[in-house]
Amino acid sequence: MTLVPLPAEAAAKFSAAGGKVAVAVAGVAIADLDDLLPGVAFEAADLDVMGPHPWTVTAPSAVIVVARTPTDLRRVVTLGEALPAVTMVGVVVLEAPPWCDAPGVPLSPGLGRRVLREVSVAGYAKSGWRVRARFAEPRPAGEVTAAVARSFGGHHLNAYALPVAGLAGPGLADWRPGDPDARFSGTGGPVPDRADVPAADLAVRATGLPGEGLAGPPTEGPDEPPTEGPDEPLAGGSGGLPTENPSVGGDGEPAGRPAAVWADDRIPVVDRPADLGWARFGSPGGYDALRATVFEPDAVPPVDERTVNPRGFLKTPKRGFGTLVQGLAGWEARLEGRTVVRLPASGGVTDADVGRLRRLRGLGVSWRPAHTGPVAAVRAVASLAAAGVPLVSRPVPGWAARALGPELTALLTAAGEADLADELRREEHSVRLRRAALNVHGTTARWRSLAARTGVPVPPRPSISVIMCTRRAGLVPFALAQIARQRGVELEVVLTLHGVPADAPEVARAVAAFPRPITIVEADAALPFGVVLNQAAARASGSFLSKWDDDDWYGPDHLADMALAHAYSGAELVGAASEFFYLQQIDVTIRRNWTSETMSDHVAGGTFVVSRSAFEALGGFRPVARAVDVQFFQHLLRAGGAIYRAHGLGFVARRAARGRHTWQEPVGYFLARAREQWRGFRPSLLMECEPGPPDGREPGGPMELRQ
Amino acid sequence: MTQPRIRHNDYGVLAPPAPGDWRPSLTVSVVIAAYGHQDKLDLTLAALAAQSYPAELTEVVVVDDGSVPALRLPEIVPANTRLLTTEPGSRGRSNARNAGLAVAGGDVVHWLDADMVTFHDEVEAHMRWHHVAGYLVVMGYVRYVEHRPGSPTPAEVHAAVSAGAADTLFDEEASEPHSWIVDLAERTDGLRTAGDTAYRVHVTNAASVNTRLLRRAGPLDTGLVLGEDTELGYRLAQAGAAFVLAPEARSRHLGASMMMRDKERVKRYNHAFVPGHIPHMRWLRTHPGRQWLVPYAEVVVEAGGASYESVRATVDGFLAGTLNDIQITLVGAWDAVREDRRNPLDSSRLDLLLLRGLYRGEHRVRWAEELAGTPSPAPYRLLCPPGWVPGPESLRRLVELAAERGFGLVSVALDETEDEVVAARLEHTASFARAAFVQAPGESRDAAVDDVAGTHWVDGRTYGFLPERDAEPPRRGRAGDPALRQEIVRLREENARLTERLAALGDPAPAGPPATTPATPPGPAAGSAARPTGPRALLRRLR
Repeated sequence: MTLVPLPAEAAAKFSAAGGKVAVAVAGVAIADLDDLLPGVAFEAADLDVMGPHPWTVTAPSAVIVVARTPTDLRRVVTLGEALPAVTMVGVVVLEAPPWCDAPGVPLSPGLGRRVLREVSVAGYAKSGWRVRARFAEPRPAGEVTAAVARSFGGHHLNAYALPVAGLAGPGLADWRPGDPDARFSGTGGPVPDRADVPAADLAVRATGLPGEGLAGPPTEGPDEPPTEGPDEPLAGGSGGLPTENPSVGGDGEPAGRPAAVWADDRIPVVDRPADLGWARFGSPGGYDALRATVFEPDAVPPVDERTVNPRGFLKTPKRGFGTLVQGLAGWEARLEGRTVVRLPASGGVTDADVGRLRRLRGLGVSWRPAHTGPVAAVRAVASLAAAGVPLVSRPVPGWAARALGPELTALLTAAGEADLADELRREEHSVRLRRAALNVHGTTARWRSLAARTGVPVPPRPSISVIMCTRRAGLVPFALAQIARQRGVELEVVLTLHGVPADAPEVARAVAAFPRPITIVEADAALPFGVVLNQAAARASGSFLSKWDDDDWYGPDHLADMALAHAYSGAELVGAASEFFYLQQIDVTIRRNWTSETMSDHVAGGTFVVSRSAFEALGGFRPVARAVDVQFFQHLLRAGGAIYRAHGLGFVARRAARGRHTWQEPVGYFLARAREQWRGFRPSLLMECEPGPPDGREPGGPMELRQ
Repeated sequence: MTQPRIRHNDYGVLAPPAPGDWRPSLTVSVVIAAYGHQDKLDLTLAALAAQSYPAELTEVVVVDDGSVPALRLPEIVPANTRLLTTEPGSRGRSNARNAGLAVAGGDVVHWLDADMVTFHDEVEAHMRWHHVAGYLVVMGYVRYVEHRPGSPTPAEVHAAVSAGAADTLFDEEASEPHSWIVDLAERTDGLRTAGDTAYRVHVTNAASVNTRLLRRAGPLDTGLVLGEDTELGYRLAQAGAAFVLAPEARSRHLGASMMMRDKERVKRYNHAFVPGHIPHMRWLRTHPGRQWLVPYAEVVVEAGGASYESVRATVDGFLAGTLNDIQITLVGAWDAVREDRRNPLDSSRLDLLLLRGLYRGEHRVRWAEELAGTPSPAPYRLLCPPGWVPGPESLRRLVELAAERGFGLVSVALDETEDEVVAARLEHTASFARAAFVQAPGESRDAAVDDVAGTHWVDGRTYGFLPERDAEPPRRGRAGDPALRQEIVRLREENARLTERLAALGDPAPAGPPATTPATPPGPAAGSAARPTGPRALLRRLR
């Protein structure tokens, strides 16, 4: 691969101080650096295979981090401790997906930012970026890298929820991508201390042979003898090019051997085989080892959900159906005979790879031959699924099925290429894949699972307070039924009766039957809507506030999808695209054509979930009677916050007779903007609605103008 | 019987029983119109006498269209065969067929020419389709063979057909198919994707049709001497027919057809006579101004209960449309209109009286006490509430939308009251007739239409409909679409508003061009993936 050189004046800035520059690469071959850095004297190390002292030069004049994609850069963040302190740091990202924003250097105030003297940010090549920061005094280059990596995404903090990760041995950066708080040690431990306590709560350790994984009954090996492949490298990092055996671990101990005794009895350790290539199983004793191996999701490096996620999903792909097949060096996505994406031997997928696959209608997975080994295969498939790339497969081999988990395995065969020809069916399939993959293979999910196995305490899942404000007692049973069927989230309801008495019989009955925590707030009918919502929010106890409409339909995973979108996007406010409308008077369902899975300036008002901290920072809704949503969105954006618009398949807005609803636009307004329409109530399959006329269609009771 | 729901003409949903392995129950009347050629008729009847379809379910009606000498029934005939003769003064092929149809008692009518030799299972092959749906027209597969009088003999034909060896009777190598039908079948997946054009396949030399459907569509038009079977095919389609190609229903035509012998002259004749009957022949009805025997659309306006001015605004709008190949039906209590000859201004139902006065010279306007069940043979009917005025392109665009996407119903949302949507409806005659066949008890007609053709809603304003108060009466010499003009005014205003807003936001580009040319958004130029801001984002919100 020939790299576009940095502009001469930019390269000269790094050479200005004289001396050598230390370069760290991730997902890029060291041999290509001569192209990139003309005239710069440097010494390079590959982050995916390097030990604790990667450079011989003791006092480099600058550090340059060269990562193929933002996802690769996040792996450098995990290893950031190994980068020295210098006064000039450069970060070059060769390619980024189309949805990636321009980076910055958002260091912690009072610390790094205090001594920052100069920052330059410029585009690199077609879609990449280069960033250079100069400091008044040396700063750890890892800290600067972490700031730049974070600035590519929507998260204001780099943190993952507990446990804090220990990584024992080489090649484990994939297990905690983008986390500058991860701590490394040798395979024997101990985890280093920080302020006299261990700097991690739970460690993952690289071991050579499989079979030393988590306790569990031995399971069968692959369904058939694996296809012979070339000798595989020890798939170190996700972006690593095929390399020779990176066998020297952090403490000089050869990997590929049974691990030493774990010397740190303060924190638990789980062993992860670092080498699961088929070639390994083909060697003497290997097949027995394979038989003994417990293939399960937890054996696979997790998906970096903050870069590999549904963002940028295209509803109407311009290109056809491709295949995911085994190439010479690893998995490849091919379309019409051409390779669109070439994955490294490790099977790791980057955001830029996902960006290239967005225009494909889908990918058919060919499991055989799979000589990269089961881990790489499963990792590639789980990552693409997490990104919502529509995948289909013939029956999944047993080894892969166990490592993918039952739900994801079932989904891969649940749809065929013909199903994906329909845009709506394709998107539904994509959403199901994302959910299953992110919930089982996401980094947060993986560490929660490991913590659960080892008894390490983790914080409870953030809870959601659903604020449902209504002026219509007759709709309370319908709305509460919609909330009651939400699954996969902790929730409470703040039922806000806006001029409706709590003792109205239909209200009382519905409240009594509601199976989850519920708080009732009675508000005077004369109060403006915004004030009423704020009163409700004041009574809410969840980490997130969810605004809920009394007469719209929600899929049972609506809140879980919003929580997931919050986790991968980092946006303070997430909501659904306002796509589906049921036009009740004419019994027609329409779908509008919104881009979804994108940062945006608005979402459907009845669907958004906002973090409590952001809500409180803004002071809540404005005390006005209408348009409170739009006001809130603009307020948040002006304050520097982010709004993420997730998919719109889990929500149907009801457009009832004009005299009865807030919508002011006539029916023709919706018809003129409908991309698709169907006779009758036709929500997406994700809504899991009974066929036939929608329940609660005629809520009964006198209707008043709402707000 | 619950009727299967064929969408458009896609009869792939039908699963007829396999030939030779089923128990038929429907009766069939084979209707043969003959003029001369006793020798060929003898062979036709001999082959019919050797059919696998049960004789007790079959009758044959031979109509002699005044042959001299008169035709007779030969020795080898099917068990249940009758011979009729047409009366002088009512002769011709259509007349003869209609005479046969009038006495036909079968559940299915099987048209057969008098110079055809059918294979042993030809009738069975037709009938197995009619047993699975009650609104079918089934087309057999005919090849044209050379024929020398006297060979083969009726006995040879009977023997060969009985033995299932009809293909040994003639020189099959030299036979020719009806190439036009073969081409059409190839283009349309055996008519399954032919949609509204499937009727064109209707050639009655070896076709069969459900009798109830045929009686609903009416007999052959005796006003047409050629092209009459195409015209009947068109009317059958308006009555809800689906057209099935049954290549397994084989027969041989003795000698070449008239169309084959005299193609160009037949075509010239047909192009003069047939298009007036068949609005779907758009390629022959391209004249911008003229009227035809059967209009492309019937427009229905309920005149009772509305003011003269409202009805007039609506009717005048349609009369000024670019689709002028229409007929307008005004529904009202016309019989009750009494003109007071002394005090005309005091006449009862004055508004209706005025409408009758206004349009009495306009032959495109007709008067109806009640709305007929179907606009057939017109292929479309638009029902428009009075007081809503179409633009010049409204009806043409609506019909085009329905035709292109095959919709059976296009509803146009015009307005809404507190709880009701005011709508115009464009109904596709054939789809509504089909829906009537398949409609289940308790099911709405529109729901059945959605199944057999699809239903669709559009926004009235987008299609150029305006309320009477906003519309301008059509006027000679004034071109253009008032709805379009209003849209232009609206967009200009919106543009001015956005320009103002842009100016208020401040343009970061130094000395940029004036806001009237909002070209590129500000931001990094090098292929940046940054979200569009400025004009592009604002324009996007206009959608």
